[in-house]
Amino acid sequence: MASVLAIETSCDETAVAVVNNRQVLSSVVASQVAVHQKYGGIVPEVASRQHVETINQLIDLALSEAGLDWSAIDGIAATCAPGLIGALLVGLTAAKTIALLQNKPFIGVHHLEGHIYASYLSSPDLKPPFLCLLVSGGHTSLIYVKDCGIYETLGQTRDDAAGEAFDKVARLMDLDYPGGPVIDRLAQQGNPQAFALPEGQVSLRGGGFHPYDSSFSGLKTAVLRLTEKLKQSGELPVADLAASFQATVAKALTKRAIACALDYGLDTIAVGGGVAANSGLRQHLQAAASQHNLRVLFPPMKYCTDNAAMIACAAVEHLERGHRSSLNLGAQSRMPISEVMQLYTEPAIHPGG
Amino acid sequence: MSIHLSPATVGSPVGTYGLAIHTSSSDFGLAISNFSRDRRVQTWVLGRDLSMYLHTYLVDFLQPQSWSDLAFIAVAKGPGGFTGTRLGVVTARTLAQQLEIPLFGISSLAAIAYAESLKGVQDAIAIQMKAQRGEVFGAIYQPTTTGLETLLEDTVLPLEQWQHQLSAWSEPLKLVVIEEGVGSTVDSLLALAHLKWQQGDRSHWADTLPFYGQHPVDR
Repeated sequence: MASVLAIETSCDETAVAVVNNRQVLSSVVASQVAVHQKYGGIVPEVASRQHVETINQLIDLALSEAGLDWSAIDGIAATCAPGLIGALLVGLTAAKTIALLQNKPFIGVHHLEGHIYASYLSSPDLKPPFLCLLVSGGHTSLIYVKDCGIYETLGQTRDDAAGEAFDKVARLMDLDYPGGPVIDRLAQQGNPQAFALPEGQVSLRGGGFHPYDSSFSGLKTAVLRLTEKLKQSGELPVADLAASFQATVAKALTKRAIACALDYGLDTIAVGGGVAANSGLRQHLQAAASQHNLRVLFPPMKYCTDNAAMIACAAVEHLERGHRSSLNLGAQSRMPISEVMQLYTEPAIHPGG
Repeated sequence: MSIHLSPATVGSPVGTYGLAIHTSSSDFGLAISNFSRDRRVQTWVLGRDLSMYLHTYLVDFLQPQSWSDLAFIAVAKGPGGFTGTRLGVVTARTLAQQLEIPLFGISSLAAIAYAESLKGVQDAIAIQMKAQRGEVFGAIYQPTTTGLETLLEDTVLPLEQWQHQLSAWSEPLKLVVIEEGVGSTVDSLLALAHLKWQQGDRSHWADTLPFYGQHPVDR
């Protein structure tokens, strides 16, 4: 089976990994969270600068931790879309340079496809079709996984991503960045029914609501108004606010994921993205899924957040199917996951050929 | 996280060629030479397409030489466009890392000054280049028999302050104002790196990072 070295720099984590088939040989991540903390969020130019400072040392480290040399690497991969353009370009440029020097095939990988493949790392026997609930700071999507490179987005957020909503609400409550872990910790001590918050429904033109799309901007505004009101009357009940907000998000995501899986006859929901670590989401989704005999897969936390092992895992399968990217491949800030196969424009090469 | 760096530099490299990469402005410049009879320089106006074509142009340009012919690499470390400079620096750092050869990060302003000095300018040379937020990058160099002496390090400052500094300069000065397109000075970049090489400098790739001069948030 093929071994791939992959680079992931789509946002604020610099990551390099070596994966053989679905087995992680090494996975190193340099987080920039502390760097961006003082700005209250990710500053794209700062993220790009940090990637430049770190990427080459991580390449050395990932290769040495894998115990391999370049002769044992069959392909070089990098996340090329979607993400912060400047950040993506750092990883993409380093990967292309290595591919050129080491004379290896180059494989550009869609970041969301990487998150889907994170589930294969912890459940190597997983096979399509299944539903992927992808929830992170940049994405909230329900993706029908049909085969390698063949995806259909069935639901998505119309405004803020779930993780983004956690960050913004944390700021309203004067909590630290990133908001997800802080709110989750506080929510353990609060009453999830203390405040009734709107779930956020997406209206359809002909009436009714979209069954799978979500919206978190109304929820965020409701928390804003509530915190303003509560601040006037004294100290904020942060634990109850956190618990109520988290429960509302978890219920909204669970309802849509379950409905989507049932409607499409899919018996497995694989969850990916940083918000997959959220305890409220895990509890709600597990409980609802078991009522409907659905299987839910949560990858280990290290593969939920951005990492390069998931990118390498996706690249291995593309490589084995003869998919190759051009060295002229560019970075894209946005790209629907349904267009993944456009990344592979080089003549198909038969495995071993 | 503990990070191990590869040994700095090979003592006696197999290669005899130097390769220079200039991506700090809208035009992309490459130069290669063995500092004897073989010397090639080429520029392309790529603008935002730089990231797409950098590698294919690089590999085409390198021929008939191969990677193993390279003894060192030079790269424009800025100031200039943030993204463009970064692409060149990442490419150069990765090449030098993988080939285990030295990397010289050379100021874009120094390369311009050296190109001027080759025209016979003997006075100190002040380079002024447009920066963001109404500021300018500035530096002052003195041509010498062995290259350039830095009189004022690359800096970024408001235009008025820079002009005041120039008017207060006590020695004769030639001012060069650059608006765009300095990729053609890639030849000077290579020459400056070669001077360092000849003086026994064997800089490690990890020592070269872009010089931005400005921060997107902090002032």
